[in-house]
Amino acid sequence: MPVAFITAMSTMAKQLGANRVITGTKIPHPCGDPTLSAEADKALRRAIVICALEALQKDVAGPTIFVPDITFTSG
Amino acid sequence: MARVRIMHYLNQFFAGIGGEDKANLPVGSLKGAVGPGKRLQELLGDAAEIVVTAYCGDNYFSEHREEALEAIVQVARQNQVALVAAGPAFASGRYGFACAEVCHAVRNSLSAACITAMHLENPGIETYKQYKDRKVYAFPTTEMVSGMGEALAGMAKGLARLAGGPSLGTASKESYIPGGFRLDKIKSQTGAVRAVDMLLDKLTGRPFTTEIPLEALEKIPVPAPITNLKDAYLALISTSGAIKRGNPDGFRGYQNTKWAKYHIGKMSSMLDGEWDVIHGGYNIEFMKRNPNYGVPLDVCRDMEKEGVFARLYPYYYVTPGARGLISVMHRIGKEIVTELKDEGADAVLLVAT
Repeated sequence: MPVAFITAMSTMAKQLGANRVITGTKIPHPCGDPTLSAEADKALRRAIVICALEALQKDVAGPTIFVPDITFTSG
Repeated sequence: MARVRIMHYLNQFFAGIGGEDKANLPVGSLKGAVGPGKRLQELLGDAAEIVVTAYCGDNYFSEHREEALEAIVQVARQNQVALVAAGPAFASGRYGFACAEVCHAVRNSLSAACITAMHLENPGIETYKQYKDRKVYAFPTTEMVSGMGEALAGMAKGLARLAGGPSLGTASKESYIPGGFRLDKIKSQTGAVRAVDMLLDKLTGRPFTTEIPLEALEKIPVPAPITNLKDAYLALISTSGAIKRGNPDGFRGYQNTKWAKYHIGKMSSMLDGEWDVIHGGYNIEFMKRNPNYGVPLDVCRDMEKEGVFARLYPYYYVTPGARGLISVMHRIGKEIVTELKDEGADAVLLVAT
């Protein structure tokens, strides 16, 4: 069963052999950014999940990192 | 004679700066030995001197790996160190990963030999094995900090040996964790003779030692992608530790051996439910305020309604992932997948903190 693995520690996830890795925002909040307004925070979360859904539909040869199409605004 | 100069790498906790609240701390350095480094220095005696301690917050390191490594290498360079010690990291995943990365970076930029120490199942060990750097050695430790004494003794022994000579002998002789490559050695007998001898030993039940131990790391086959997202039945799994209010399943902050599933079938956001967050490995403040950060139910529900995919599985699965043992997590993963397959789920979104 294909798994889209969303984590801020994407390099480590790839090294450990996860096949479809999506780069999340930060370790304590992988899906979103609490420094944003509620609306922008949710939009960011949606962009990350959309990237995960795209990864689930991609054929990959081995561990691959997918980066959501967004600009991180904090840190 | 001047003593061999060592840089010691620690995370924010062992450097005495702070706990999870300081996990975003950028790289800094302190003169001389700090925290566990003080005991390490005692064990080293006159063999070598910890001249500087570099430290970094665990989260900062993971999120700014390149910058952090550059800054740490810079500290090593400025202090003209010949050796690097990193950790011990025990079973702490982020810290172990940082130790392995620091050793790799310093070894490659400055050709300093490095010693680190961590538990065998620390994910940092996979990193260490993947880099296969000559003159980087990881020593095994206990899972918990209670094994600090032994861990430092192992590191000190390795450092003292490196201070006096170019490299360590084989992993089995020097008791570090095999780095995944073989050391060349000239033997008096040919491979054919040694192989036949070993076979005879095996057939007659005599003890023998293989020259090529098998790699234990499991390769995960790539599952086929989903072909029609609009028809897909998707499930959410999380290691964030967002659990039912009151922790009725008795989860612990560390090393959980079980999982739970919680009903979200009637919710349009995690904010509709009552949750607690238990996790010993990261700052849970944000997750407590909005568990959608770890279980992105709100946006998944929106997309389900819009028809982006067919259906969201009515439960999410969770275990707090801190310091999980690989063998236990393997079992938990299998159990969850078996249930999801029985229920006809097509794919999983897994969020890890």
